[in-house]
Amino acid sequence: MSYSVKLDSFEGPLDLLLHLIAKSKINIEDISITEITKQYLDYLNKMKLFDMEIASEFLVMASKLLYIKSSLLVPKTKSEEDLDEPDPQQQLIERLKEYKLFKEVSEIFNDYYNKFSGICSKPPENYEVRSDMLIANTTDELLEVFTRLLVRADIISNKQPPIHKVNREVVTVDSKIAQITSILNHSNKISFLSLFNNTYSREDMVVTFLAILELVKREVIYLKQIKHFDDITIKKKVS
Amino acid sequence: MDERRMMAVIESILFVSGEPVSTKRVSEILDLDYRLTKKLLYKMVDCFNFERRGLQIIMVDDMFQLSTRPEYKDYIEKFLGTDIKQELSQACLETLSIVAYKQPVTKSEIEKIRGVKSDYSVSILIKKNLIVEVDRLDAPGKPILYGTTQNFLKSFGLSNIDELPEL
Repeated sequence: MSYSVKLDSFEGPLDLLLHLIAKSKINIEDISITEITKQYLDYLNKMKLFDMEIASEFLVMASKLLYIKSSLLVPKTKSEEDLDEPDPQQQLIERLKEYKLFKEVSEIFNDYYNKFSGICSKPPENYEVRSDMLIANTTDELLEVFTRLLVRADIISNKQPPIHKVNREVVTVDSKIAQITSILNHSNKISFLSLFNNTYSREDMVVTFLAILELVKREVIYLKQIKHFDDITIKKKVS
Repeated sequence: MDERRMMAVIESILFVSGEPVSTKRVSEILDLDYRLTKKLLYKMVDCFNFERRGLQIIMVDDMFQLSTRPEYKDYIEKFLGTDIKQELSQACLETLSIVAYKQPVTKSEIEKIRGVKSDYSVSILIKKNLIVEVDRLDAPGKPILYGTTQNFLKSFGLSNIDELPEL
């Protein structure tokens, strides 16, 4: 049987095997290892002829096929049969069936993606977050407040033209903790928002936030809100 | 506030936000019961579709977002002078399918199913925010476990992961 070498790229050896099986118009269950091995090796040879690079996975599969073929030729001894080892041919069939399933899913996914990915949405409006708008009673709300700060910072930093590049030193949580602690040594309480006043770098903001959380965890500070919608006050805990 | 007025308020909020807004947040703004807010949002999704508006409201988990419709992307692309449509390679689609159905899953499990190395497609999918690291497997080497993202749901027109077609 002559057939032209498809120079389409196959995703891998399983893909190639599925193609050969489909071409022979047989079910995966009914493949003849001898026949499929022959077709597979023929294909690899043709790839060599065309000077195509063969990925190592294809060669690994070739040796697997030969192993399965040879294991079928050697009759199993009684003790080997009792061992209940997984049948390599059956394993291959299972692998092919599973791969085929996902290949089919990927086609459906392609349709979905083509259909639904071509949409746009607006970026958020750039608005000044007024301090009386922030609500923080629970950790959930604290996180939401912080997320909004991050979003605002992202917008602002994107709009500001870079003036000059400054070498940024790595900001650590520990250094921020030290910073906040020293501020607290001078005054008993500080405003949550004030800590974020001049930081628009995302990294800075995240590290500051983590430092605050760590200090709350260590029970060095506690967070308080006098009125709903107020700025949160960070107060030093008196032991 | 009558219903139409409330829907108008929601539309304004969704527009200003641009990004997905939670039902909870909408109910806070409207000072309306959560359940009723949710019903109202669903109604708005239907209204926008029924009236064949140019914009749609997409729903992913409990979040709602205003966006354009895929059927008009050609005009939008013409207007913007750029492609907004995305393409995914066959390798990426296969990898993504496996992650979607088998999550959480490690890279080596993906490679076992595909029969080939998948580093490249995994990194592309992470870059496109379609998959993400969700955990590490408690096994030697602590390999990374991957799962799909909210953005995946959105890009494939799904409201949640249970809407994946049956295998």
